Amino acid sequence: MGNAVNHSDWESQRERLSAYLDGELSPAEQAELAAHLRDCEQCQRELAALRQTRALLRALPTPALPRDFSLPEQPVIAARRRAAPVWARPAQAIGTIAAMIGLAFLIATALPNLPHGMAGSATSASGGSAAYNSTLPGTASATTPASPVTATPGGEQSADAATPHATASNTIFSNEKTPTSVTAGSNTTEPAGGTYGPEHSASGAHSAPTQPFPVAPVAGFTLLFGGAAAVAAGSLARRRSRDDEPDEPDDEQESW
Amino acid sequence: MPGSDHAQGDPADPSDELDEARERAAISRSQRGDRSAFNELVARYQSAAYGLALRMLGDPDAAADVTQDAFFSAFRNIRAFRGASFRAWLLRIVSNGCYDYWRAQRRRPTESLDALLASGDEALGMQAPESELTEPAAQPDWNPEEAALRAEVIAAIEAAILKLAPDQRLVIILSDIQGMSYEEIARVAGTPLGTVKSRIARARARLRELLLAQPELFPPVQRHDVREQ
Repeated sequence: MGNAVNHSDWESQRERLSAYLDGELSPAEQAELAAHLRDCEQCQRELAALRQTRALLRALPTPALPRDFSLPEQPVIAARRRAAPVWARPAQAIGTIAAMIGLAFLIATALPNLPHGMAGSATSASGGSAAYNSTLPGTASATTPASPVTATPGGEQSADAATPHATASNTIFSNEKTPTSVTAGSNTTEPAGGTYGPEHSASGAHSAPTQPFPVAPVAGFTLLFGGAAAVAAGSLARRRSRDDEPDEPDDEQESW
Repeated sequence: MPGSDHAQGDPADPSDELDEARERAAISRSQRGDRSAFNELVARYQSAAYGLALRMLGDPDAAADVTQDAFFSAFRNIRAFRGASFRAWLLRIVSNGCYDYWRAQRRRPTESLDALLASGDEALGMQAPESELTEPAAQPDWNPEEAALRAEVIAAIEAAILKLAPDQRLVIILSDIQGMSYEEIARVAGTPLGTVKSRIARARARLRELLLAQPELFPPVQRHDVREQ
């Protein structure tokens, strides 16, 4: 390699000298350049300049730390985020069902001239929703079901099961700074079963059709938006907890 | 400095065998979620991490933020670490944080990374710098390695570092301030060894140009200093 003596490419000669200074050349290159340096004044000057520059940088004082960068021993944030998936998935699923039922109510009641069969199913559905509405404090006395509560226990159950979840997840969502989201999410499912019984008697007592209250639309809206809110809260919480998990394919980890 | 041409790039390797074993233990405990073990690593490397961020960014507040974020991110991702140099892995996270910071800054109208980059790139390799070095020195025995630097000299060096293009700044900080080997630097920068080598050389040359623009602070290098060896 006569390269070391070739100054026509000064850039790469300087590169070699710089690496030589750091002891980063191969032993053979290192020896060759050392031999060249004995005779070449230009390279001697360059090497000395490189060395002085490096010496200046090495002499810089270590900056004082502005604070200690230790991580807090109590993983507050991590605990909150890990808690999210416990209720988030059920909230999403049940919220979706609730929203679909609510949408069905709205569609059924928004069409005034229904064929006979569908009208029947619409009224039975509104009866079911009356039971649901009577549990709400404000609407209990005003509830006037058009027909006795007979049908659609399946829809009713899921509606009842769904809304507490929706409200539960809403509360969690708005109070997310408190670390109690796990217990809040699981506890609030109990009132769903508890309030289910009284509904029947309540709706049965108020069965005098004086003035038609728009039960089905109100219930539909409630279910639709409650369900949508539950889905939104659930997916938000899950996305959050996903952000917190180590994302493996980060390029900075691959080569280690 | 007679006969010391092979002066090694690394000052004392920071880890003797005992330290290395402790570090490995701390890493594997951290990988199982042990924060106090991870904080041992923080204690060990926070100075290097903050030093890199500060020299890269030139802003203590931003550097502290980047450093803190880097440690959080390192803890979250430490299970992905397996390998040779924890320091290189960590400093890579720090340097990525610095680039992210600039990217965020660029979106704001007040500061322009383009201007920053331009000031670093301009005049690179445009002139033959050796011509300036033939002038006689004012203080023949001036040796920055031994003398403590004066405050204005420190400020001038720090300002000059910040005028380098970011890629050059990164490698020169790692090699000449943190004393890392080219191989370790290549891991931090995510570039081949040859790129590290050429960037360091260009960064040193460019820094010299910048510093020689202030001859009252930086007397040009001595010729006889080299001949003696």
